[in-house]
Amino acid sequence: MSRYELGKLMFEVTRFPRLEEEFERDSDGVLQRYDLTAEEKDALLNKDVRYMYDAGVHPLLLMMGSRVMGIDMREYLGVISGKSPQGLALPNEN
Amino acid sequence: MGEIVIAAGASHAPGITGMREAADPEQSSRFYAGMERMRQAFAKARPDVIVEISNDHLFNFYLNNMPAICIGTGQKHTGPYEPWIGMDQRTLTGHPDLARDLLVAALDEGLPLSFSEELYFGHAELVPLHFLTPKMDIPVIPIMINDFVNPLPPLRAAYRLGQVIRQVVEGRPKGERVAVVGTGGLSHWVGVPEMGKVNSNFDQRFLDELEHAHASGILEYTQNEIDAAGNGAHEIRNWIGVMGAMPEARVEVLTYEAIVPWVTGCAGVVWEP
Repeated sequence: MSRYELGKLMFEVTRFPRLEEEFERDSDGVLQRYDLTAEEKDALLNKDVRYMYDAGVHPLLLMMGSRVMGIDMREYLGVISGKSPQGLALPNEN
Repeated sequence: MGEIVIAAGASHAPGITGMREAADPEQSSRFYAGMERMRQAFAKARPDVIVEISNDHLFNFYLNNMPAICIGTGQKHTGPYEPWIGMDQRTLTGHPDLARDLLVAALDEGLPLSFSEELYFGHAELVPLHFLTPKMDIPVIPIMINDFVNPLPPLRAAYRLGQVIRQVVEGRPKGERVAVVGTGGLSHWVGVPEMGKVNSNFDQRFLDELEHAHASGILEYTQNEIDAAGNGAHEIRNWIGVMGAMPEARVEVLTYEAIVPWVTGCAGVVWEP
């Protein structure tokens, strides 16, 4: 598992908004530009936050990048902690 | 000669401006009242420029190039890059001339800062500025310390940075009135299951030592001690930078609230010469 390469894509998707658009339109095209295994590409296509968290992608980056990919912080925390966070002002999709 | 006319430490949790209603209203109103007192102190001090010590949140820098400390020497800075912190996009002026003097002095002193002419601002920079300079019309020099991606620079590097800031400001022939602000903290966890926890014991101890000038106590905190206050607590480096710049000031804690919906022990402190 390559935390660097997975993290790199998450970083670039957050940093360059057009990349997220392109990823939605042409995921395979974008994924080809990164040095990823087939399993890692699947994880990104499925927005598998748990996989990336376990691979060691930096949690702050992962949380921010997931948000750009349409997974809000509340959902992110639910996935990585396995429980639903109570009373947190985590911004929802807006 | 220049002068540091005021300094402050201020939490920068995005909820402070982005999710105001989510906090307990008694807590948030006390916190906002503290920040209002801070704004008044800043207005009275009339700074010409703000040196703002914050930390990147893996937006400006990734693992391909991770500066321990990066100073923004650019003419301008734009932000926020987060659309959800309750602020519109804006552009703030930089101060390339003073930034360059700070950079050169740091390099000469053996503190090799990186520099960037294009730093983007997020909640870490803009939340405190929203209170301190609501019109955002005072030039800002951002200095971003790596507080998130191990290995982190030691606490004493941040303290040294503050000492360099004082030295340079006092030697400035143009005699600018300079404000120094450290943002972030106190205890909080980000992106991990503990997010939402606050370690008020750590926070109270830190604030107590700050107020009673126990710089040496704070500088001895270990990585483990700070980890126990959250991966976000390493942002106290930004405050330690202020400590280094203000060794003889009168320190006042204006506010501290452990605000769970904002996932942070939120504090506001001023240093007055």
